[in-house]
Amino acid sequence: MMLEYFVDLLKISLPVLYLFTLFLYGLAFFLDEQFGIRNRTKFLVATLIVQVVYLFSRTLLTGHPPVTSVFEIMSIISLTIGGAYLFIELRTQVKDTGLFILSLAFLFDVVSAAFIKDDVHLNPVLKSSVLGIHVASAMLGYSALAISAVYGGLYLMMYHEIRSSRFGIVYRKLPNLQTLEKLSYASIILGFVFLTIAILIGYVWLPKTIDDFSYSDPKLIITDIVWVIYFSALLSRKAMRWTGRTVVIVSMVGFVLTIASMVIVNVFLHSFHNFQ
Amino acid sequence: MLKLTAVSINHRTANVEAREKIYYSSEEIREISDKIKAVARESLLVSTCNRTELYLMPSAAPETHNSLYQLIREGKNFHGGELQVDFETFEGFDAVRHLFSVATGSDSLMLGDIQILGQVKESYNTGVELGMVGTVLHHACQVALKVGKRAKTETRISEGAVSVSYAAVELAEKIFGNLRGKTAMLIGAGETAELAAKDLKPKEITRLFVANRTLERARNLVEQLGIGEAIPLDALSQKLPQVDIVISSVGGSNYILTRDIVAAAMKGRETRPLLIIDIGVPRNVDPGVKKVASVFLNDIDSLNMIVQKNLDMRRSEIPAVRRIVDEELNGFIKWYNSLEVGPTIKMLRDKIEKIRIDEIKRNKNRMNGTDTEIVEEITRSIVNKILHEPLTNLKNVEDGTSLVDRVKLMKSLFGLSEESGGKKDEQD
Repeated sequence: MMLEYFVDLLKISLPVLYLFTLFLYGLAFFLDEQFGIRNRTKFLVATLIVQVVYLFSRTLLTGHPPVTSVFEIMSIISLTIGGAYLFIELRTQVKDTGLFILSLAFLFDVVSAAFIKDDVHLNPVLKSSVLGIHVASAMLGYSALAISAVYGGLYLMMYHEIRSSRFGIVYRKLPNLQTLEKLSYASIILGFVFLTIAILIGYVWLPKTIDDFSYSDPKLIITDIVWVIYFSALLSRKAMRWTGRTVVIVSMVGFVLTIASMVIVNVFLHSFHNFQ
Repeated sequence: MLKLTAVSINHRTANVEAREKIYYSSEEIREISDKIKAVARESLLVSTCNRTELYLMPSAAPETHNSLYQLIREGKNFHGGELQVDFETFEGFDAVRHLFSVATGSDSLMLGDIQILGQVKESYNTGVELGMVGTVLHHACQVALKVGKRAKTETRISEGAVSVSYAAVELAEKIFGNLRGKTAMLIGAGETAELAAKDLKPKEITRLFVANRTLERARNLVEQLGIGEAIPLDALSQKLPQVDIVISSVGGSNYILTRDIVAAAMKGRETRPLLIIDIGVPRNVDPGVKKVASVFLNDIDSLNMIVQKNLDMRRSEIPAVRRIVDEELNGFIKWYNSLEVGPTIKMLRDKIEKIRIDEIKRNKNRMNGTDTEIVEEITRSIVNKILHEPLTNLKNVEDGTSLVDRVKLMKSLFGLSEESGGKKDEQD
């Protein structure tokens, strides 16, 4: 009972923490407020720690990892986006893009907190330890692709700010085009690597575990198509020496296609890849 | 009160010609230092191309502002003549506040100038080396350097380009990030091109083409810069595919770079961006060039807009800088006042101890050896206990009364005089 209250408390606290973290990143971005500048990263770390504790406690409470529903997975995506952003921020010291990337993490967390259910029937497949690696890789992969798309969007904002000679807050606060392109590209690479790991584990593990496994399952086909799109884009970049705007547009188109196809598969088509 | 006087000849009081004539190099500060030291217990001479300031704590009778101003002028053998020169003065803690403001760049001609902090540090080092700086100015300079650093890191007073040529470099950095390894082309070899090249050079660009109608003039600029290759104006379309940044500032009514020339150059560059900055009036570059993919075309109005926005931003930071100056000045005032406390405590302790010892000596014959020891112990303990509270409260200024007032009251109540304890050198 105590654990249930604790999990509920964390579930409600997380969107508030994310919102406050976003508020600090916003204070620093728009107003250069010292309070925001000094505390934004600290609050992000605290929020992520609370989220890890929340997911761990939830696993203890329900007896299964939080991957049984779209809304549980959304909380993991939120965590991986936040974690991946923190890693990038610490590596590059580029902090003024946090407001945009963490908005995505906040969005996933809010939807997750609003609709997540506690009494989910547990599919026996979910007891497998390989599942954790498969899901974690897939989530990290999609999160990195989402981050890449956000950096791509920021690149285009900056690109148009300079082309149109506006020189407003976007020009002053965002990193240079070269850096945004590098961040977007590095995120694609990371996303692609994790997605590849998830697909490989899936292909090895799923046929042994699931009775009605089929290679023609729509979710598998869509995931393969997404993988092929990114693979072709990465090859083309190398072969055709794509740089700048072309790279980020490919990243954004890739991500939009990924989201669109996932929505179509989950909403309109039947898949064995559903464990609820 | 702190007996510190500052006399400042700066951009508000003198024109550039006068400021140049009154500028002191380190060597010249060395030459005049003996004359300054003759009238000062402590002093500091800060001299840059935009200001010459003398901070001085007089050794005896206070110097008049005019005599200090004359001292600065005489050191440079400067008599003014037709030049309009005036000076500003600051007294006591206002002089310290002024030094702090100078270190932040908020008092500079170019608002937020970051070089001034280094110049204050250099002046301080020279002052230390020449034995001009004492306890008070040493601490004032240390705090001034801290204030300058805080203003730079905690506010935006020094952010953004505030000259057209540097705005061009900043724009290039916003596109390419690091400019190391990039190739630039100057079209025109006039003053604007020269300024832009001087700002680009420290960014370690690998190659620089200088294209000009008169090749000789382009060669002269290349020679002067120590980097680059002079090319005739009609060769620029051949070199353009290799270039990342073009800065054009040549005269003439026809476009030097047309859309066709730029589009042709971009064909060999895949999607690698090209920045063209047109600072020529009338414009040198066809505005249609903006429509070519991966080309960024900006003109003099764009650069002026960047400069204006940055200046507005720096101005908006002045209140934040003043808050830092006030905070650190309060700390400095507390530190200065605390210099009074130590000697006063010592004077009081010495006086009470003397009374105690005298009384024991006077009554020694009335006690045997053991009694004397006991009385020694008891009286020492009584003295310590009596003194503990007033001495603790003397340092505690949280109730609003000033430390200076407390020290004065303590001296007056106990009749403490200069002779009875170690008085600090800087005492008024």
